[in-house]
Amino acid sequence: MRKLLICAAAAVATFVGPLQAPSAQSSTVARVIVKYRADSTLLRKQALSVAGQQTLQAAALGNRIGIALDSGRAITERSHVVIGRGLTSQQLAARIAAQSDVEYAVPDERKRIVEVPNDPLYASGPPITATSGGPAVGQWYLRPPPPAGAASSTWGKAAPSSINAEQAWDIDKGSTSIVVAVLDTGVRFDHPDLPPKNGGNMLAGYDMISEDAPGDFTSANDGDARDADASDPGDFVTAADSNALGCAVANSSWHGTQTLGLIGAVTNNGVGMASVSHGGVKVMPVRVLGKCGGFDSDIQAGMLWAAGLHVPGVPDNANPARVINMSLGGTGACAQSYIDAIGQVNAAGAAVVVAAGNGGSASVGTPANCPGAIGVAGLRHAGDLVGYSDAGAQVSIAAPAGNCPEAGSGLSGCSYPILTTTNKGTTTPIAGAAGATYTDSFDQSLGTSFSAPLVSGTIALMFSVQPTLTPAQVKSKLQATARPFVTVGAAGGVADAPVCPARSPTSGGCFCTTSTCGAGMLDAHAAVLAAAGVQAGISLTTTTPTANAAVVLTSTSVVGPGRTVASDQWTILNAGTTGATITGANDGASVVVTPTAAGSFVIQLTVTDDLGAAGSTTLSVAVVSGVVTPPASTPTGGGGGGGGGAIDAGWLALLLGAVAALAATAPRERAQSLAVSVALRRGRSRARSDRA
Amino acid sequence: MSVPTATRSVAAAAAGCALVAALASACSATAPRDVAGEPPPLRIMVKLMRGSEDATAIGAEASRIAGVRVSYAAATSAQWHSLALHCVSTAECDAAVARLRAASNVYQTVEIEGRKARSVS
Repeated sequence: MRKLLICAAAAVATFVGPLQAPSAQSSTVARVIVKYRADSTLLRKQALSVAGQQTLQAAALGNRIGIALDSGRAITERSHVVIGRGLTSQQLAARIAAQSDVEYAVPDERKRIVEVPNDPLYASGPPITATSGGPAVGQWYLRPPPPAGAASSTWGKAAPSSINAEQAWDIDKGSTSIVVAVLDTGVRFDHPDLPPKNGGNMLAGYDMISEDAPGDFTSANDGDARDADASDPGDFVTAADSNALGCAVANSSWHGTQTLGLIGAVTNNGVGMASVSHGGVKVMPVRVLGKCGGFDSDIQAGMLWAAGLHVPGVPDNANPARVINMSLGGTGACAQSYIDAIGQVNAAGAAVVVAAGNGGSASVGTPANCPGAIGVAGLRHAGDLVGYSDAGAQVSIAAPAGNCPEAGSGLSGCSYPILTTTNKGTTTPIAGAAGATYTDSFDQSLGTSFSAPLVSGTIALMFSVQPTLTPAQVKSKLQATARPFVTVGAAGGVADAPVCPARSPTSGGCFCTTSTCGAGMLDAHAAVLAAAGVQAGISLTTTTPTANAAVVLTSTSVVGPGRTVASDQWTILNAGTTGATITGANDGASVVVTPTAAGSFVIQLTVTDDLGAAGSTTLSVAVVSGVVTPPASTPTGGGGGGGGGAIDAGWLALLLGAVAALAATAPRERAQSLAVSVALRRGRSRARSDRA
Repeated sequence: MSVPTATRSVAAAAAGCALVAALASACSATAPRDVAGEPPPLRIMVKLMRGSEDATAIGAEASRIAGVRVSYAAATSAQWHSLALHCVSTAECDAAVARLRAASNVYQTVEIEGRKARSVS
C-alpha cells in the first residue's frame, strides 16, 4: 500500500506541474456593471458610505458565485462595477446575472473616442451658390452608416453606403511603411492638401507614358516619353488631338489628383478634406493616362514598376507599393498580358484595386475582370447600384461612387458627389494654391473611379495594422467584412429599381446581389478590425503527447500593433479515439489536455483582443500509447512497466481527486504560478505591440 | 513577297519624314505619326518565349516575321513588349498579326494592344 501511495503521488506530481501552468487565465480581469433589484438582500443598509456598502455587496455577491469580487466605481446606490479575476467579463456577467436579485449584469467595456477630423470639408462643402459649392453632406462617404433599415430622414450627413472610415481610424491612422501607387494621369504636386513630395508622404513616382509613335508625344502631352516626372500637365483634348487619337474634345480632368486625394490627402490638418488613409500612408503617383487614356503596355509597366519589379529602361522603384489603385478600364475580356502583370504584382505582395467601369452594363470592365484584381462596383448613397456602374460576377466589392438623386428634378447641384482634390485649370494646370480646389456639387466627381480609391485606402489601413497579409487574404477579409446590400424597398433606393442584373429603365440602377456587385458594401472599420485581428497560433509544448499524460498547449497568437490579448478560449473539437478532455481552465494562455488513449484529437483556440477582434486556429495532436501501470497490476510497485493502454476508471478518479486536493491546498504554488503567468502575458503583450 | 528589314524601315520612315518636311515645312514631334497615306500603326503586345531587353533586336525580328515595318514602342517587362505595325491596310495588318502568332517558337502570346480610359461617369 505504501508503494501504491508513492506511485500515486508520483503520478499526481506528473499532473500537477502542467496543471498549474495554464492558470495564466487568472491574469484575466473581468469588469461587470451590476444592478441589484430593489428588494435584494444585498442592499440591506449598513452604517457605511455607499462605497463601503458596495464593497460589502461585492464581497457577498462573490461568496455566492464562488469568485472573489472587488467593488469598483459606484454608479448609483443600486449599481456599481465589480471586478473579478480568472475569467472574462462576459463569463462573470453571465454568472452574476443568474442571481435572482440581480436586475442586470453587463460587461463594463472600454469605449474609445471616435475622432472626427477637423478638415472643414469633411463636415460640409462650401456654401452652395448657383454654380458652385456643396455638397452639404461634406464627405458623407467616410462616415459611419446609419443603422440598417433606418428611415432616410434619420441619416443626417451619412448614408447606408458610407464606409465608416471614422471608426477605422480609431484602430489605425496608417503607417508610412505602406505605399499606395495611384496609376492615373499623374498628380498636381502643388495642391496644398496633398502631402509634400519632399519629406512628406508623397513619393515622386514615375511617368510611364511612352510615345504614341516614334517622336509623337501627343498622349503624353509633356514633350517626352517615360521620365521621372509624374506631375500632371493636363489631359485636355483639342480638336486636333481628337482627330489624331480618336476620343472626344474635353477639358483636363485632373483625374489622378482626384483619386490620389481620396486615398492620401493630408487629414486633420484643418485644411480642405480628409482621406481614407487619414494621410498616414505614403502615396505614389504613376502616370499612365494622358490624352485619350493610355496604352495597356504603359499601364502594365506602371503596375510592375509600382510593385518593385523591373521594367526595362526604367530605374527600379525603391519604394514598392502594397496597393495599386487603377481607376481606369476598358471593355472586353481580361487579356493575358494583364493576367501576367496582376499575377506578378500579387506575388510581389501588392493588391490591385480596379474600378469596375461606367458602362452601366452587366459586363465588368477590364482589367477589373481579371483574376487577382479587386474589382469595385459603384453604389448610390442609399446603397443600391448606381446606374452607370458596371456589375457582374467578377466584381469583388462595392463602394460609394457618387450620385445625384435630384437628377431630372430641375434642381441644380448634386447631393452626393465624392468631394476630392482637383485643379482649376481647364487645359494646363493653374499652379500653386491659386489653382488648387475641390470637386463639389457642380464640378462633380462621379464614377467607379472614386469607388476604387475608397477600397485602396482601406486596404492601406489593413496593411498598416497587419503588413504580413497577402493580397488574397486582404481580398478575403474585405469581402468577409462587407455589409449586406440594401434590399428592394429600402428607404432611399430608386423607386423603380429592380434586383440586379435587371436595370431600372429610368436610372439604370438596381438593388445589388452578391453575384452582381461583389460580397457587399465596403466597411472600412470592419475590414481594418479584421486585419488587425488576432492571428491565432498554437504551440505544442509537450514533446511526445502520450496517453494518460498531460499534454500542454500554448497560445502563440499575435495581435495587431498596440493591441493586447483580452481572452483565450480552448475547445476540443474532436477527441477522436483519444478521449481527450481539457483538464482545468480552458481560457488561459496555455491549456492542459489529458488523452486517455492513443489516436489524435483536434483542439481549437479562439483569441480575442481588447478591441473585440477575434481569430481562431485548430491543431491536430497525435497521441501515442502511454506506459502507465495501473495500480492493480503493480501491487508491489517498482520500476518496469510495459503494457499501457486505457487507464482504469478507478485509478483515474483517484488521480483526479488527488489533483483536486492538491490544488485546493496549495494556494502558495498557485499564487506563484499566477505571478509567472502574468509576467508571461505582459511580455507577450509587449511583443505583440511591436509594429512590424 | 518583299519582307522589309528594320534598316529599310528606318530608311523608309526617314524618307517619309523628309517628304512631309518638304511639303509642310515641318517635321515636328506632333507631326503625323507615320508616312503620308498610311493608316495609324497597329499597336500589339508580344510575350517572348525567351525574355529580352534588346529593343532593336526585338523590333527587327518582329519586322522579319510580320512582313511589315515594325517599330518598337515600349517595354513592360523582359517578356512583354509593345510594338507598332505599320501596314497599308487592315488586311495587311491582319496577315502580319497572323504570321506573328504562327511564330510560336518566338512568341508565347500576341495581343492587339488597347487603350484604357478614366472610369468617370
